[in-house]
Amino acid sequence: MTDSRLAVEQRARDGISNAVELVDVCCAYRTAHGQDVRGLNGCTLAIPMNSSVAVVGASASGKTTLLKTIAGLRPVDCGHLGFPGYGDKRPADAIGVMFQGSSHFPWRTVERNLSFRLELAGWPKAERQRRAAELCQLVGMEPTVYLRRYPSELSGGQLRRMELAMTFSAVPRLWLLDEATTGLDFLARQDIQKLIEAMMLQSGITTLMVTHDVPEAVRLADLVAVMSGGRICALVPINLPRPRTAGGLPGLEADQARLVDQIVVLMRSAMGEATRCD
Amino acid sequence: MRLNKGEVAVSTAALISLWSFAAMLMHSAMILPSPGYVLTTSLPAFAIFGGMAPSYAGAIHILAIHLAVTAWRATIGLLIGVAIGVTVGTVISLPRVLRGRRTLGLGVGALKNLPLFGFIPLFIFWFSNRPSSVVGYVAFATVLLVLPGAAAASARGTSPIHVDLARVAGAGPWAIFWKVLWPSTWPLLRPTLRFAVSLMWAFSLGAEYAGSPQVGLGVLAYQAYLWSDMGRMIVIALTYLLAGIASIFVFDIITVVATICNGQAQSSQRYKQRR
Repeated sequence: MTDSRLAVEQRARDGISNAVELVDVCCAYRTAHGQDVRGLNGCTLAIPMNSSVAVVGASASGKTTLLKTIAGLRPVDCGHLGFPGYGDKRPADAIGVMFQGSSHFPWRTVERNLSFRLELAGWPKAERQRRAAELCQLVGMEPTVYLRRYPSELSGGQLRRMELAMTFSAVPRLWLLDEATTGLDFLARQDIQKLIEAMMLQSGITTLMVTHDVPEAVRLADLVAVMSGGRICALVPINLPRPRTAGGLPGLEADQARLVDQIVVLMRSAMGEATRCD
Repeated sequence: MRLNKGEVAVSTAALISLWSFAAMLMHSAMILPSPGYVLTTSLPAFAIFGGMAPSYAGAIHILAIHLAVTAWRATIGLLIGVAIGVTVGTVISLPRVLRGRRTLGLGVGALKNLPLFGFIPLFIFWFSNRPSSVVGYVAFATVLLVLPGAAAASARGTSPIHVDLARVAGAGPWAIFWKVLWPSTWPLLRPTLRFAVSLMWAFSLGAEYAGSPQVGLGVLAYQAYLWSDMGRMIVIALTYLLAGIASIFVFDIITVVATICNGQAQSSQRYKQRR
């Protein structure tokens, strides 16, 4: 039995409620080139309510498949994926997802991107406009300046802000972020990390983020899950005070660096095991 | 590039002057009649087809009847062809069938090389010289013209991420089509459809000319050819030109209305420009 599975059962015994539970989940899919890929291979993970979990791992370790499976975009072939409190149903309305790459509609203005979900839900136009302005302010963008713009008229950092705001349009309870800061310059990356932490702290939302950046995982998550070969190989709790992205707290940098080293060692070890298994 | 009214007027005047000059050099109304001859002699002569004496009113009446019949056949054929071409082209490029795209892509790409007008005898053989042969041929040629464009537009314009984004937001199949697939592929598909609208006249002319049904502009063109009447051929060519411009105008109006209904009134235009 894996450590992570034991952790799930331990939490259940302790009465800690989870937002998402995966037990031995398998997921296979076929790529555009016709190759069958086993994205998840007995993946077990519990995401505690109101906490943030970061999934790190090498490329093709199954991180994005995990996120897509939870979002309902990949079918579960075996095992159990549950959302406690919702029965076996996936709370589609309560999940906000930001995908890797272009997670917006380039032919829509910022306002219409922000209100896309509300449009589908049948909100009146005036309400949608009001909510879009609120969301714009939430991510630090001036509504009067940005709402009428197109994504092609925004910088990389502003695009990510808009995409984060899009995920918040319907007040989600579960936030799924796939490489939210990839491709940004250092300063924009810092700004987005601060924004994500601020939004998490303000809303208390349960967050699952997939990232290649281990220091980012340590800064933003309460729990870092190391993934390899389609399963969770190790869990590292991050017990550091918040906010961590603001800077200025004495001793925090050293603690973060120690945790980063620890996770990198676990990742290398997990990759080695996966290679040996192959 | 869009010409202003002044440029259009100047270029039209230059073209007519060139035509007049060339006709003067030819000295033969049989080879190249002058604009004046076409206007005063060839145009009124169309009234003869209605059993009337040559007159402008009679000629316009006859031309209008034949134009209406050709427009009807061409439009029906175009609609059938666009419906089939866009549907099949889109379906084979949907993200769900991406795996098949490469194989089907070869076949779709090969369609571009087919000699479309070479199929006219086949349609006459199948449908005889009935109006259905014209409609069938316009539909067939439009499918072959539109299908590769629709497949390419769908494959290039639609990203699986956009579809996933819509699905997690709770969009059903219709919402995905109307709010994601349509606006993302439309800027790429529109030039192909516009081209098909302008070519439907050429397709119908070819089919009517070769098939010789009872009425239609192509029939008038065939009769003008039998009489070696270059003046009437020029009138028919100008009628096709005006019909083509009018159909493009109608197409543009319909697309603007559809875009407004889709809620993309300004965005599609600006998005297209930025793209």
